[in-house]
Amino acid sequence: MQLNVTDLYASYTANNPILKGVSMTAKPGQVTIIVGPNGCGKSTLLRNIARLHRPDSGKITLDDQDIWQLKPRQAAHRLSLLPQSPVAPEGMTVMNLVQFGRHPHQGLFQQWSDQDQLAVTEALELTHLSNLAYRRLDQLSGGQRQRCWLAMTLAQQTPLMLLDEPTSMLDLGHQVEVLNLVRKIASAGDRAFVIVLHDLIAAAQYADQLITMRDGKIVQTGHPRDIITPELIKDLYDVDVRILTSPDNQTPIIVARQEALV
Amino acid sequence: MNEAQLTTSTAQASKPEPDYRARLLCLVLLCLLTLAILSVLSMIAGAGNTTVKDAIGYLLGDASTRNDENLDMVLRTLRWPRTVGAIVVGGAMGVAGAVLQTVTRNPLADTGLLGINSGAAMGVVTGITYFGVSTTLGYLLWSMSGTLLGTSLVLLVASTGRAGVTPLRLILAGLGIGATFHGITAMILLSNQTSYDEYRYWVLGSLAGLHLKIVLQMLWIIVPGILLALVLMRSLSALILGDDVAQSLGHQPAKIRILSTLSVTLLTGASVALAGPITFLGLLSPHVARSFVHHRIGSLIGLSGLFGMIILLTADILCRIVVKPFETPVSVMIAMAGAPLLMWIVLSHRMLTLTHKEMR
Repeated sequence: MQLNVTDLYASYTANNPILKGVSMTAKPGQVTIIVGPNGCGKSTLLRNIARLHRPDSGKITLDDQDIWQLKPRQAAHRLSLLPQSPVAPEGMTVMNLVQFGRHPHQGLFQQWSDQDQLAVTEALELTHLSNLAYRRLDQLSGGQRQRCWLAMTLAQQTPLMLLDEPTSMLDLGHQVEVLNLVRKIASAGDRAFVIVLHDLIAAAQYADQLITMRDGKIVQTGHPRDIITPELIKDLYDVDVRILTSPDNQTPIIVARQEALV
Repeated sequence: MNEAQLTTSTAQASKPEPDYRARLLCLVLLCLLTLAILSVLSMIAGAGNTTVKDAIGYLLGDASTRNDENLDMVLRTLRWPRTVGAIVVGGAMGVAGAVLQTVTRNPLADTGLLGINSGAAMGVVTGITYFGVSTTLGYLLWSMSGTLLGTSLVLLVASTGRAGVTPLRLILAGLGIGATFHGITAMILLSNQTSYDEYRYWVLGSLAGLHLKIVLQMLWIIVPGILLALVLMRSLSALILGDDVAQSLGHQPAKIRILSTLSVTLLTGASVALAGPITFLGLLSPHVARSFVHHRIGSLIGLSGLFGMIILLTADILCRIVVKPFETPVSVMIAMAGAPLLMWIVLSHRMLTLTHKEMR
C-alpha cells in the first residue's frame, strides 16, 4: 500500500500556514524518515497523515484512496500511529496494552478471536516481548516500554505505520534497540514506515528515504547517501558541518565543525 | 533465544489471565451477597417503633405479623421502596461517577463538576419559588429539566471551536455554567425564606418517602443511561491511553465524550431527582472500585455501580439508626463515613491514578 501526499497545506490558526505545499510518497518495505529543525512542520505532516489534524488543502491517499474519506475504523485498519511519549495508566500489563491494538478489528459484541490472539502473539514475538507479556509496564525500562507501544501498533496490522519521535526519550542503547527493530520489521517487506525523528545521525543511519523539511516545505528527498551534503545541513539548521562516512555501511555521519562549537 | 525457549515463552504469552477473572468473579459475588444482606437489614432497621422481631417475622411470612396493618404499611410502603431506591440510585451514581472520572481523566471528578447538580438545584428552586411545587413528582420533574438544561449548555460551550470536546474544556464549561446556576439559585433563595427552608431539606438528599412507582418509572431513564455506559466501555478504555492513540485505534474521542456526558446526565439526573444531590457517592465508589481493578475500565464501571449500591444502602441504614428516632440526611452520612474510607484508600497506597498526560 503506497502513501501519496500531494501539495498539502495545513495550519492551526488562519493565515499562519505550517505546511506550504508538501508532496511525498512512502512505499512498503521502506523506512521513510522526516527530519528538520523545530517548527518546520514535520510533526504536523505526520498528524495530517494520521488523521489527527485536517489539512486545509491537498490530498493524502493510500493506494489512490483519500484517507480523509475513510470512516475512523476503516482508517484504523490501514494506518496506525505511535504518538510522541505516550503514557499508559498504572498497573497495566504488556499484554493489556498490546491487546488494544486489536480494537479496530473488533466489534461491540465481538469476542476475542483466534486471529486477534495470533496478531498479538506475533507482535510480541517481533518485539521480543513474549517473556515479558504479563509484566507491568511501569516496571519496565524506557526502551522496553517503547517496544511495547510498538507492539501495540504492530498488533493493529496496518500496512502504514506512523511513528512520532519514537526515540526522543531514550538513551543511545534503547534508541538503537528500537530503530533496529523498526528496520528489521520494515525489511520483512509489507509495511511502510513513516517516522519523524529529531536525531539527524540516526535518521541518516536508518532511512531508506530521508525527507528534509524547513519552513513547511520539503528541501530534499532521497537516500541519505545521495542527499546529505554540508550545504543541505547548513540550509536546514544554519550549522557548518563535516560529513564523515560510517565504516560499517557507508552511511553519512554528520559532525559539527569545530569553529561552529564556540 | 533458541527455538525451544521461543515456543515455551509463546505458550506462556497466549494464556489468558485466569487469576484475574476468578478474582473479579469472587468480588462480584461477594458484592451481591453483601447487597442481599444489606437489603434484609434495611427492611429490619428503622427509626420508628417497629421492632426487629416483628420485621423479621413479617419477612419470614409469619401470619400474625402479616396481618398487622401498621407493620405492613411500614415495610411495604416505607422500607421496601427505600431499599429499592437506594440500590437504583447507588448503582446509577456509581456508574456515572466511573464514566465521568474516566472521560474527564480526572480522578477528582464528581457530578458537581459538569454543572449537573447546580442545574438540578436551580430547577428545583425555580419550581418551589415560582410554581409552588411541593410534591415528590414535582421536584423530580423540575430537577430533571434543570439537569438537562445544564448539561446541554455545558456540551454546547465545550464543543464549540476547532479542538472539539476535550477533558479540560468539558470541566471548565461545567464549572462556569455550574457557577452561573449556583448564583441564580442563591439569588432566588435570598429573597425567599420559605423556598430556602424547602431547598435546604432537598439539598441534603434523602431516600425517605420514595414511592416505589416513581423509583420504577425512573428506571426508564436509568437503564438507558447504564446501557449507553456499557456500549461506550471499549471506547472509554481506549481513551485512557490518550486521545491520539484512541483516535488511531478508530475511536472518536469527541463523540465518546458527548455520549458519555449524556449517559452521566441520564444517570445523575434521575438519581438527583429521586434522592437529591448526593455528590460524594459519585466520587467515592469509583475510587473504591479502582483499588480492586486498576485500569480495567469495564470492570471499573460495573464494580463502581455495585459499590455505589452497597455504600448508599449502608449509609441509608445508618441514617435511620444513628440518632434514633430522628433521621440523619443521607448525604451527611455518606460524607462522614465515606471520607475516612477515601482516606484509607489514599493512605494504604491502593489508589491508582488515571493518565493525566495532557488534559488540553
